[in-house]
Amino acid sequence: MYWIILKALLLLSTAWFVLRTLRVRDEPQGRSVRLVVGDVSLTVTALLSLILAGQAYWQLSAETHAGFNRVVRYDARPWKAAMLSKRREVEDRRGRLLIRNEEGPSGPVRVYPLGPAAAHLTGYHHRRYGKTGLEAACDRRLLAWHRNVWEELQPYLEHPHRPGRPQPLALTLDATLQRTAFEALADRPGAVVVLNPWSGDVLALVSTPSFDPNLLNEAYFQQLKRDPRGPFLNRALQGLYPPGSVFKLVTVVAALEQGFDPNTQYDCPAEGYLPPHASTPIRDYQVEVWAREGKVWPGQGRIDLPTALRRSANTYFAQLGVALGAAPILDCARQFGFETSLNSGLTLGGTAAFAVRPSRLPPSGFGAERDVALLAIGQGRVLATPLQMALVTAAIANEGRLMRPRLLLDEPVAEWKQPLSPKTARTLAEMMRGVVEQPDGTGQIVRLPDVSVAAKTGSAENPHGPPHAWFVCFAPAERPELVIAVVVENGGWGGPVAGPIARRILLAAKKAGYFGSQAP
Amino acid sequence: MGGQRRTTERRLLWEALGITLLAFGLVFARQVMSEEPPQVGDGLLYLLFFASLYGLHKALCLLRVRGGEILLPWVTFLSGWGLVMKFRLRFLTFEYLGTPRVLVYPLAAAATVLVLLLFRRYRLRGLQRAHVLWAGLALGVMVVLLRYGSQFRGAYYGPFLTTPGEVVKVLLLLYLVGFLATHGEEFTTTWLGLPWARLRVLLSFLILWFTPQVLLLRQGDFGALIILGGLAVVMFYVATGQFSYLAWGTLLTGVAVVSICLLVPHAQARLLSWWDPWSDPQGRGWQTLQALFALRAGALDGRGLGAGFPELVPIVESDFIYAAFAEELGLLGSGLLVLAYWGLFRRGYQIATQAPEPFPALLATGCTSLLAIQALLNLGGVVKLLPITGLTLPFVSHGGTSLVVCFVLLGFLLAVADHLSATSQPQDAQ
Repeated sequence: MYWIILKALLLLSTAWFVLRTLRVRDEPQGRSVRLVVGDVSLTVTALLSLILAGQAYWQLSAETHAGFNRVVRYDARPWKAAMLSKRREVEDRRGRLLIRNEEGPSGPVRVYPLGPAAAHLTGYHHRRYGKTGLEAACDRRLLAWHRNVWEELQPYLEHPHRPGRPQPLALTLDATLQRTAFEALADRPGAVVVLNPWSGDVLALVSTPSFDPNLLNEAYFQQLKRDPRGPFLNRALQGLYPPGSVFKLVTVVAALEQGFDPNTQYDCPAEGYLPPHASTPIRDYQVEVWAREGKVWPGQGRIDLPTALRRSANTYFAQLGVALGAAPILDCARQFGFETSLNSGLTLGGTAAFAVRPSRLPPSGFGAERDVALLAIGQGRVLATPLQMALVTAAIANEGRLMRPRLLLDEPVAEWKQPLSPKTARTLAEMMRGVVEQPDGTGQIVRLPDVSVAAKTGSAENPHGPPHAWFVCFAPAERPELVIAVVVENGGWGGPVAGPIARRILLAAKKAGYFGSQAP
Repeated sequence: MGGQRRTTERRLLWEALGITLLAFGLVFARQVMSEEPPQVGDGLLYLLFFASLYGLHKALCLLRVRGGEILLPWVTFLSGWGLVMKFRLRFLTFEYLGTPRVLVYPLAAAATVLVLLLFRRYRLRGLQRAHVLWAGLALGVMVVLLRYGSQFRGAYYGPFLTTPGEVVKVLLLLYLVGFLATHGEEFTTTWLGLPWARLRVLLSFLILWFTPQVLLLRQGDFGALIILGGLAVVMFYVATGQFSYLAWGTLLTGVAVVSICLLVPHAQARLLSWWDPWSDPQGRGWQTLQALFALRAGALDGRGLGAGFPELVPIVESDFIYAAFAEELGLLGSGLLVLAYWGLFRRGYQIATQAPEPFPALLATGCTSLLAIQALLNLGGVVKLLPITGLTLPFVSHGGTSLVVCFVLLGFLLAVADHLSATSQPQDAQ
């Protein structure tokens, strides 16, 4: 504060001195010799003005110069400033610090209290290894150095009790949920996305395997780089997985929007469903489960849509898909954000640090009934990021309105798109409740006392090993506050593997008061 | 205490000293809070500066120098800011207290007093009469320098790393002024824009003026050459009032610059680095670009004294000190510095126009023009209007000899102002 006053004082007194001294006359206005000194004096004046004009061009509008912009990266100032001076701290939605400044032996050091639990989200800021994650995506906002006097004054005016420190950048994240999700994933590769369906707030964004941004050094960095599991990859935003049975939610939405009657029954025999012109039938996952227990799967019999969703019956959805055709399902998926760059959704400046890979669909020209059947059960050539499946679930939870995901607390809450009608959303949400609450549901693991949960499991076949375990859910089912998407790479069955992770997050959220009358 | 009162000068001097003291204090405070706190002795730097400039004022009073009272405050203001910035860049610190570096300000003040003692009033004419002597001295200095000087960074230096090239500039200025005051009339007659003077006069001028410059060229001091070329053009124009000298001079300077650039690869590289620094940002464009980055970082109101990173600019303490001002004080603050130069130059030219005789008038014009050309070339280089000439910013830059020489020029200006007052009000003497 006093610094600014002194700066202003210095500038004003200097200006005063210069301007006043210019006006003082001490020489008598005497005889003038026949000399042309006046011309020279005038020329000097003109040249000095020219220099000031040139200086003003570079000082005030250097960015307009193309050459300057090309080489501006050779200016070490941003780095110096970032290394030597105040870089803003970052806090979660409840004011707990996610990135903290600490005094190190050679200037301030960035400390990441959550360590590996939020490494992909916070990223790191290192003189040698550069910037990633939030440190890169919000670099400009974290740099406190390029501020004018007004911005420098603002924190003092707003928070006089917290002097000398710029306000931390507040995220929508919840450190408790983030940590819980990370611990629940343990050391299995995978990802968790937790969203608030009606505000779009990103409450947790976890990717494993992770690394500790506090421990970066040459040996550690090289080890991480060589790690075949790719600890630097942010699986929540960039991991593309076959969605498996969780994609059935999209199929159901497509069907209901087309006017499909949920009471329609299909015959789902034990030997599976053989699409026209196909050689291998699509069978239910229960065949394998029962076989492992030494029993023979008797088949689903004739079932309707809610039952099929509860049991995640591949045979039903394959027939439904073939009946619908590819186009409605693909269109519906695109409505949810498949094949579009989600960077516009995660409004973080669109930097590569937080790039979200678009989820992929098979090319629309394909026609074979077997491919359509596979698409309907989320297999084949459809690939989705965990964030994408969280968004699908969030749209269903929020009565069909998909909110723009936001990570910064000062971003406005905004609706992004409306992929399905409120009626469809309510019907589907009711079916998803059945997945948890009915005795034949695959998602019973997340059944909680006094909180109703709606869920869908998935076990995505893939060529790399055991199926990827998927689990998406939202709670409370009547007035959703939380959407969770979990994927465990090659984890196995969705319900028993990914389900417990979602359960732990739900319990932590309940303890944190998310399902009470006042959500944090 | 007897002597002239010089009240305007004293009042303005106090203000200039106060402002620079405030700035110095800010830098000092900022350094106290930094990891590398300054030593208490660093405060002595300002004390020394203060004593020198105030002592100079007192000496002027005692010597009964009259007129030119605005000159010293301007100079104090400029060199005070120079001191502040050099201290801020940690170029003047306690460690140097034992070396000649910190004695620069007392020496500079003493040089001004010495000039006044030697050449005041009627003795000013002696300066004119001895003009051939100055050219001879310049030649002698150059010969001795080339013979015995030590080489450092490609240039020659005298004892204590002094740069006698600076002295040569002043000696040649004195010669030029003396010559023009004596033979200027002959040069007003021109034929096709060329002087129609006696051959003997013309030849003596060409030899005495250019021989030291050839030697300057040999030691690679292009900056001094450009200054002297510009000075000759201005002085011939002022002395004769003939536009043709401007035209011919500009043409000759242009030819000289082009031929130097064609002959000397070093100069060519400099020209290229000025014209297109963008294509080789890490090589020849580095210095130019770093200065531009400093300007950009400064923006309108500056990063604040001590809060920028001017040390990223190579040789920021001498040739590029203005970039440091632009970064830390912004366009506003450094613009005031330019305004101070303008005030100083304007006053210098005013003294020239009021001088009753050709020699004092030409001397004042010459001294002012020398400072002005040097300042313009330096500032133009920093803001990328001109190629980098390697010249210091008068009164501000780091560089002992250069600073002392600037104060010598101040001495001549004061001598002319004093001469002027003495001739206009002769009965005023006590």
